[in-house]
Amino acid sequence: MSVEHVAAASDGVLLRLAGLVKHFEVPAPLTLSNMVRRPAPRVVKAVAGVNLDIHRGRTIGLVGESGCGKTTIGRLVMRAITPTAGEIVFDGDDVAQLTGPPLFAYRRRVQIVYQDPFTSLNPRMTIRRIIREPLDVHSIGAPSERNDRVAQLMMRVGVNPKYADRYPHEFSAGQVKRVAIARAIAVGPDLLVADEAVSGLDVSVKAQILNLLADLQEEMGLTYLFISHDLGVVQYLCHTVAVMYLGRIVEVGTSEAIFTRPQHPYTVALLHSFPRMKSESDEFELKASLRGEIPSPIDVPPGCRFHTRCAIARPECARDEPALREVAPGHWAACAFPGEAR
Amino acid sequence: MSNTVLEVDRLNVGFDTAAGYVNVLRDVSFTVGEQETLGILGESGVGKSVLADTLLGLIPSPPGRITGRIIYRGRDLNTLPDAELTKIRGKDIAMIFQDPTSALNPVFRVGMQVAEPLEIHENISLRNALTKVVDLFRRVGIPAPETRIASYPHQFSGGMRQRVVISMGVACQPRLLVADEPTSSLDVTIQAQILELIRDLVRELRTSVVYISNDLAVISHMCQRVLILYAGQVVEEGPVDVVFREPKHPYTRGLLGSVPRLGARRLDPIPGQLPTLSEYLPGCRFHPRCPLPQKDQGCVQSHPLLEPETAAHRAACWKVQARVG
Repeated sequence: MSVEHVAAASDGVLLRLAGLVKHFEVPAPLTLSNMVRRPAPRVVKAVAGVNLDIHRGRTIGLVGESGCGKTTIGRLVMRAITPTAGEIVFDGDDVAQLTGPPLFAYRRRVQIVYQDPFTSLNPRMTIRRIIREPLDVHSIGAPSERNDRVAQLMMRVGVNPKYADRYPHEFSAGQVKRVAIARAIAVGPDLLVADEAVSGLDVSVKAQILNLLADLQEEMGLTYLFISHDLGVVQYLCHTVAVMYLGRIVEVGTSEAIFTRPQHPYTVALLHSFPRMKSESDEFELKASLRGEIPSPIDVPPGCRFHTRCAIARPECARDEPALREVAPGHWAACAFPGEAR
Repeated sequence: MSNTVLEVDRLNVGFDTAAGYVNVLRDVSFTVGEQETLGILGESGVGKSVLADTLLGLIPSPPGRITGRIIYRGRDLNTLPDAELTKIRGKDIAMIFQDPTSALNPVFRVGMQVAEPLEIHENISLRNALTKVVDLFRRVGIPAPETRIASYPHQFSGGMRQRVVISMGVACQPRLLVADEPTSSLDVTIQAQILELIRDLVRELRTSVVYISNDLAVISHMCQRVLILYAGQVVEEGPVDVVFREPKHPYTRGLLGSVPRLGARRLDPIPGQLPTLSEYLPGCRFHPRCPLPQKDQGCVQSHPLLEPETAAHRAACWKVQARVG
């Protein structure tokens, strides 16, 4: 199914993040003077006002360096944590502050696949119990039929059901990843959050899992929030891409626009940093165009948060924080001088 | 090609384990030329790191069993007494390890750790060695090197720690640098910085490099020649641009088909998964996953060598060789 086809078949926003904020408090480091004065805890502004629409049946990629807040967004969407402020509108309802039974019901519709299946699957549970557990928890199907359902799910993700009584450690990384995907799709979710779901896999295994994810999306009409630092995978899999820097989205647009006409200097720098096969177009030649490292989300630079590392920063960038502005239809960038960096 | 710095000839490495003998590397042969960067490409578990450790004599024996020759300047490192090997290791041949966190000792200041090879190999005082370390840190881009030499590893970020490890690797200006996935634990932006640093240093020091990675794109940027390992065997060897443009071996083709690109409709991955090293396959180790239609008894029974022997670009596959011959 082509990208355009999906768009036509599934118009409508499934998930809308509006002004989403998440702060974490960290205690001040333990020093002698701190023990006397007890300073206030410092605040990590992990997510600092994020607006994002995720359309039904599409894949949105969330990219950025470690520490930019992309995993926190995934956890907020899962409602594993509660936002400090802002809305998470899922299928028309704000789920940001849900608790109790409504939250429980919400979680059936949103599932997650983590990066490391060996730590996200209980090592003391058999594959059958792992995949069956969400069915039991959400009372899906008659108990007597659940094992058959587990076998079907295993078959669907490409793990032989005869291994259902084995434990995670008896499988390769690729196979366990398939089990983690089976567990996530068991309850028939609408949205699947994939947090670095194919990172760390070998190239050939990664390709198999990517194909599986694409097939499942088509069959089940799944919507993906695909969190990754692997631009090659994002470019291949995602319809829309959002680039995050220090808790904010600095650019969002179609995959094609982001990868061929990036407007924000940070996106340009990311594209230069990502190694591509040398034979391919040298439009974004591999070079270290970003100096230094990402600043601490405790002390976010004033003005444009990227100005300290920006190649085209001007004095005013240290003063005014640019908002996301539409630079082309459907293509937004938070930069005072979009399109200038190369 | 110019002069050869390192020649590896029919290297076999295996381990005696509780479950029996496991053959990790089988008949691996290659050369590294003067000022050449040779890439070793392979997925996890094919023996890349064992190869790196073997080159530096870091495989304990027993349980390791190593046969074959590793010729450096006319001497076989594999049979060299430890005392002699110690004079070469860290000076002539140095290593950049994969994980900078475990490559540095957490309880010593980094300056002391980088100064150590200088003190030993160049026989200079600690004070002079530390002066050199400051220069090295400046060269690898560590800010405020005069104060940073007194820091402990945990006080550095991952990228900065890898710079420390790199400075240690190049401290004695080695003739051969073995880099074992030096950027696999880093963010892409930091990876780009480190790759640029390694490329610049290699050019400056005119050193040869064995660059180990599972990232095809990184290899395509860093190396002139590439060796592709599958289940402990070399399946293809040649100039990087040629191998990636016209891969001969079905495994190499499968790897290239697995790389996601913009516009690619669907990936074309290799079916199945890597055999575990204890599964001993007498023939071509790739044959159970090989997509070539004309597989035959030859593929199952006898393992192919890199042919033709003199060519720059060659593959270890009976079918490819039959087509050429």
